Amino acid sequence: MFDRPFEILLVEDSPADARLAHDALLEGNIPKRISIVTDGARAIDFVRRRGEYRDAPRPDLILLDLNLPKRDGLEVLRTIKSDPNLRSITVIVLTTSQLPNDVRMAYDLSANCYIVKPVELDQFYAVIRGIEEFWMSLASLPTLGKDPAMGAGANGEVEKQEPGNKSGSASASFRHAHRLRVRVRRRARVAMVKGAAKQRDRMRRSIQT
Amino acid sequence: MKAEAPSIAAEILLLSEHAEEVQLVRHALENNNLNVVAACRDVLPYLRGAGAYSGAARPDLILLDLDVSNPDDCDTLAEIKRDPELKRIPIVVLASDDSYEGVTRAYDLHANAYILKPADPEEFVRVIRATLSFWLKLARLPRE
Repeated sequence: MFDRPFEILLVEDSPADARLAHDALLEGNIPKRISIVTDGARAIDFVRRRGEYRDAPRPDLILLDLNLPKRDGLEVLRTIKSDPNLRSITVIVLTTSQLPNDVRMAYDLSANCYIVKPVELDQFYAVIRGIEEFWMSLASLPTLGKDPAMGAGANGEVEKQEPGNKSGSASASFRHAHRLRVRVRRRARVAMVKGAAKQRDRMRRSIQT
Repeated sequence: MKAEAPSIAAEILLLSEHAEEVQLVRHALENNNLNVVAACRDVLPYLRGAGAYSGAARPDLILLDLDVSNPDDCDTLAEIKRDPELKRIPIVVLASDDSYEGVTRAYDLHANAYILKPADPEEFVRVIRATLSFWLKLARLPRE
């Protein structure tokens, strides 16, 4: 089983666009939890777990719009990527801007990737599918954070699953949980690249039960 | 597959010391252009067009076959990502190990993505194709 769903933070000020991205993401096979914030200041509060976001999960992936109220997307990006505790979080800029300068600035500020948001609905769905296939299946991500506050839940679950695991330290538990996720994703990935959708779904069901 | 619109031709730089792997990446490339360096110490001279690499094409995407546990390999990654003129070129790390420490270290050094290399050659080609397809068709690269 997955030890927890894939955590996605969607930073998007337009409710219609947020809804669309949310629905498109949930169409995919990988279990995920999606949090939405509507401006840059909230995005920073979320990743720093401040104020109302005290119990927020550490995102595995952030989908970041550039044109945002309060702090703009590039400032959010700069904040995350210059913070040693946050910079390993994958940030994908997903925006309607095609300005070469925005693309350049985003990569200069260490965005993991820049994607122009298509206006056409089916193309938008194709982009979200592509993000799921590359970032949630193919790529290896530092899936569990170093923050002890976030590891507690996952540790408990993992140790229940495998009583033989004698992890003496928190970081050993993180590593163990990470390995479990890697194993699951690797199997899912093998199925994906072979295009064996049915086999993949069957396998995911068996993993989840 | 062949009926799809052709992908945009891109310049790709591959760092790999394994001749067989280079062959497989070449096989996966479609109409993109591949340049190869075999050693970490050649990557920065290549990117800066120094010495024998004068006039070398600036890559749109870099594939680095790295051993993240090797400090020299990590230095190469870190140095590219510290250089104001080079840091924006996306780097996909190809690794044969995806330990928690290694993956975290690579992303901490601002690798754009980290891919575990499958040992099976056919699967390796599929993974490279899927990677290139994402980066060259869906993502926007900082082309100059």
